[in-house]
Amino acid sequence: MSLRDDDSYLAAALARADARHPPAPGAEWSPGALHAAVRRDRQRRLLAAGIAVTTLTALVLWCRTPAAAATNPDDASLSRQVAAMQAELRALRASLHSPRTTTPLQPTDADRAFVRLELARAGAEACRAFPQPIPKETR
Amino acid sequence: MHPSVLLAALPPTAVDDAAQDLASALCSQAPRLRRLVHRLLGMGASSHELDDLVQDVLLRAWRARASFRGDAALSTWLCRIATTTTASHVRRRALTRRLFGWLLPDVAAPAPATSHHDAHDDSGTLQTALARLRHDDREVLVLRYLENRAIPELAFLLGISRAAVDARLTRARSRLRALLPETER
Repeated sequence: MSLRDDDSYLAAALARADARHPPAPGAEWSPGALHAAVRRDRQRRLLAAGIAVTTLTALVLWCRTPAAAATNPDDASLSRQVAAMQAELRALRASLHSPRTTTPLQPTDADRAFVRLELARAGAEACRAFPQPIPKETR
Repeated sequence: MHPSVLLAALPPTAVDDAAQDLASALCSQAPRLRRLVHRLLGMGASSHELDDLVQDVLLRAWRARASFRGDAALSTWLCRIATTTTASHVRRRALTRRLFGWLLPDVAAPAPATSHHDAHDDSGTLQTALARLRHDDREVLVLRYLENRAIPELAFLLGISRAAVDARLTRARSRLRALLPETER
């Protein structure tokens, strides 16, 4: 009889092979051991989740470097604006802290008009305080 | 009624007792699971590998304890978990060998545990042929002929139809015959 002939022959042959190759004895399992394994497994999963979250965060942060930001139009324009503002601020600071570089103020037309008005008013007040007698006309 | 509903309705001490009973029941099945996993892996797995797989099966069963509806026996439910766990372990192992086999020569060429005596023995030859079979084929042969599962039960365990079980059994038998020497076919 052979494997081709009978299903039960195959079952018997497999059972013989199985009996000749038993599994190596393993660890004894108890409810306490099972709970300890469950705890270890939970800790392992938590650790794996923590590592995954940390890696993802690091990847996201690494991808948002200035070089990557330059490829994004919004980020690029924002970066240009910030750079322009920083340059303006630097120039302003420099002008404030170095008096030699400041240019003297030039009087404007409005200033000149204001001075003329003030002089005229001062002259009018002086005439009012010290009036000059008007000479009589002689015929 | 679903066991989780029953557990929710019970006082905490009763829930603890139920969980403790389930843990005890799972642990009592450990030797049987070990034998099943040993058979599914072609009877050539190391003790370490078997320990890891049995622990994996028990942990999966414990995590999925709420899904145990009681319409199948605990041993059948555990057998299904062991079958899927072993299948995914075999897939992972194959992938590891493919990716890192050149780094780990010991992993690349595992040999079934055969002795000098086995080489001249029909059971040794059959075991070697069983170990060389594809996992799908070995799985269906082990469940049918060593675990003595009926065809409907096999369909439940493998998650396929009865016709598919028949087809897989026929294919597995013919492949096993092809691996045996002429005298033993």
